[in-house]
Amino acid sequence: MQLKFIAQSAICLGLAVSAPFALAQTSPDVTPSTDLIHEDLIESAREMLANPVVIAAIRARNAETQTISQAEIDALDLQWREERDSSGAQPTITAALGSPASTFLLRQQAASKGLYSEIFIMDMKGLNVGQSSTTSDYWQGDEAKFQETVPNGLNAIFIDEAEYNSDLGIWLAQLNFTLDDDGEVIGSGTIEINLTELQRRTDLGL
Amino acid sequence: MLNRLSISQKTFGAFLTLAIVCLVVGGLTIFNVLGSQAADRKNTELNELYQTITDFQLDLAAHSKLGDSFMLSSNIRYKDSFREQLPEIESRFDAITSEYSARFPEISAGLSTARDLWLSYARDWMGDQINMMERMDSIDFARERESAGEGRRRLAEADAQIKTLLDQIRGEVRLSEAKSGTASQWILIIACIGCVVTLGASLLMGCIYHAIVSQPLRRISDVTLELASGKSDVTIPVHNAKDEIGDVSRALTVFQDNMRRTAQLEAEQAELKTRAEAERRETMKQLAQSFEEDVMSAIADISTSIESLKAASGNVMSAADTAGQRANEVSHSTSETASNVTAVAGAAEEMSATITEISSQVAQVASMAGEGELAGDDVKLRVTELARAVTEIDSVVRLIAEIAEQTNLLALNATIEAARAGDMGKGFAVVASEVKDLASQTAQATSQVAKQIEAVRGSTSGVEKASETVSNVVTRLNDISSSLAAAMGQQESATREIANNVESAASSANSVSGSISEVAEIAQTTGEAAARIGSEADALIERARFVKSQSADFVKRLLAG
Repeated sequence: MQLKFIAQSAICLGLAVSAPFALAQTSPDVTPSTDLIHEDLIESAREMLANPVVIAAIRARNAETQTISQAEIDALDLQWREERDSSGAQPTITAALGSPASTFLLRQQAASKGLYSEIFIMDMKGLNVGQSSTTSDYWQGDEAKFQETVPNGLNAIFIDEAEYNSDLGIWLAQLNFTLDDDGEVIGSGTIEINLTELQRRTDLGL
Repeated sequence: MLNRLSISQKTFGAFLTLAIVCLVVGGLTIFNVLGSQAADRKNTELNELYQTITDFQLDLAAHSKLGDSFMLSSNIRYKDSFREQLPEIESRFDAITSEYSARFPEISAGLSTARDLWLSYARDWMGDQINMMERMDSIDFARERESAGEGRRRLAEADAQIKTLLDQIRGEVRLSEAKSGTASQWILIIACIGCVVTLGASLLMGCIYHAIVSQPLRRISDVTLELASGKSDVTIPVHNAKDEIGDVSRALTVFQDNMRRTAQLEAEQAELKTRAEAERRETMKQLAQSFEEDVMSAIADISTSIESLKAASGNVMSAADTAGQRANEVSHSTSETASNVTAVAGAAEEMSATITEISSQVAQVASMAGEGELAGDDVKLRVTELARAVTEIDSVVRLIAEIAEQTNLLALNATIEAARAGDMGKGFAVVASEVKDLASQTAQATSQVAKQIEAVRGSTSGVEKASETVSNVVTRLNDISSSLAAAMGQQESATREIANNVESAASSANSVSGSISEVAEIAQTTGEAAARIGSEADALIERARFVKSQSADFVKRLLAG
């Protein structure tokens, strides 16, 4: 997320149609296509975020934030960002990361063995409900990952542009989709995919 | 209305009322005591239940703590303990529910709900949580669920229900205590009211009983005592009551009427008695006077008669003596005649030889016949005198008999009067009885005298006849001797002697001898009777004097009394 690129094209539903193309190398100048994020992966991601802990956590949060004002949201977001940059006490962040949903997401991230670099889920207001690591913001409601999913209803999927992480030398792309509970939109989930790793696995035919 | 009831009904009513009061008070007391006991019992049981549930609540808290501890720590020791204790907790819950639901239906629903809520938490929720915690894919969900607070909510709900249940039980306890307290208060109130009511009822019954039974009884008793003491003018109360007192009262009214009537009768009788007494006194006076007159004169007459009788009896005695003497003489004569007959027999044998002697003897016979005629006439005369004397004696005896009869009647009257005089006449009754006995004896004596007189009269009649016959024979003998004298001139003396002897012998042998001896016996008997009459007359004179003096005394006392 820190790396922002201009999206070349909006990838809509049924992106898996194009065959993945192989990246000759993982250099920044060679941008891996988000087309690598194929349907099975998306389906797997959706299944992962259909876990009851996710639903339960989002539902619980929705119940809490149903009447929250924008000012409060902003205050929370501000609090989050301040703690993020702090080296001292981070009560809001630790509490968020300590929740069962965060633990679940962290466990899922770990289980992906490097495929998922970050996973987080949001409520209907775009506020974080659970996250596998400390996100840059607490409120995602002003971002495309939220605005392109929840407002679009069920089955909305938004794959953001791939970004290159120069520190790690990898390409990352965020897969966003609407989360529902038995057809009822409850929030959205974001899975940051290590496109470099995905490419590698694809290359290996895994 | 009470007047129509009998005493037994009133008494029964009074005691029945008291019994009903006691029954009501006792029943209410027992009812409240039982209620209090039941409330206390229930209270104890409820307290026991409260304690049981409180203890159980601690165990439940400890158990839920195990689940929480496991969820927080993932320490399987907690999980195992939780699972181990769950069935036990559940069965204890079941046991408590089944045991107390039956005894306290009012908390049954609450207990059942608490059990369901607890199981909903412990078995359904925490059991699931623990199960999910054992699976990797659900461990976070379990934690999420845990963090979502459903478990806490359920636990809180179960806890709240148990608290509600405990509150309910405490409410029931308070209710039972209130019931017990109320019952105790009621017992106190009923006891107080019961005491007052029983006392009041007893006093009321006592007053009513006193007013309608005791007092009338007292009054009736007083009136009865007064009636018993002879006061018939008392007023008899409560005679209109329908009970036994009324009966007694009415009976007393009858008694009172009877007493009044009796008093009236007694007054009348007293008056009659006074009058009868006066009359009796008058009668007695008159009787005494007439008695004095009659009896005294009768006694005087009797005395006179007795004197006469005595004199007559003396005469009779002398006459009898004379008759006896004469008879003896006659007897001697007849004896002589008998010897003469013997001599005649001898002479008769010698008659033929001594015809001359016969003539002289005839002449002698003629003269002796003349003497015999004279003697016969004398006998006749004597017998006639004797007959007259006997007749006189008879008349005197009749007089005596009449006097004796009159005396007897007087004595009888005197006895009756003496009996009527009562105690006062006792002495006179004795005298009258004596007089009566004397009169009776006199009557008997006179009767005997009369009989004897009758016998004497018969004898004298026989003597008269015999003397008549003798006279006739003598006359005839005289005639014969005269004719013999005439026929046998020369043989006069012998023939007269033979004729005289034969005539003398014949008469002496046939009649004179027996008659004379009979006359002599009669004369003797008459003499004895006359002597008895004389002695009886003496006794009578003595008795008459005694009677006279007693009668005088009696009359004196009669007049004095």
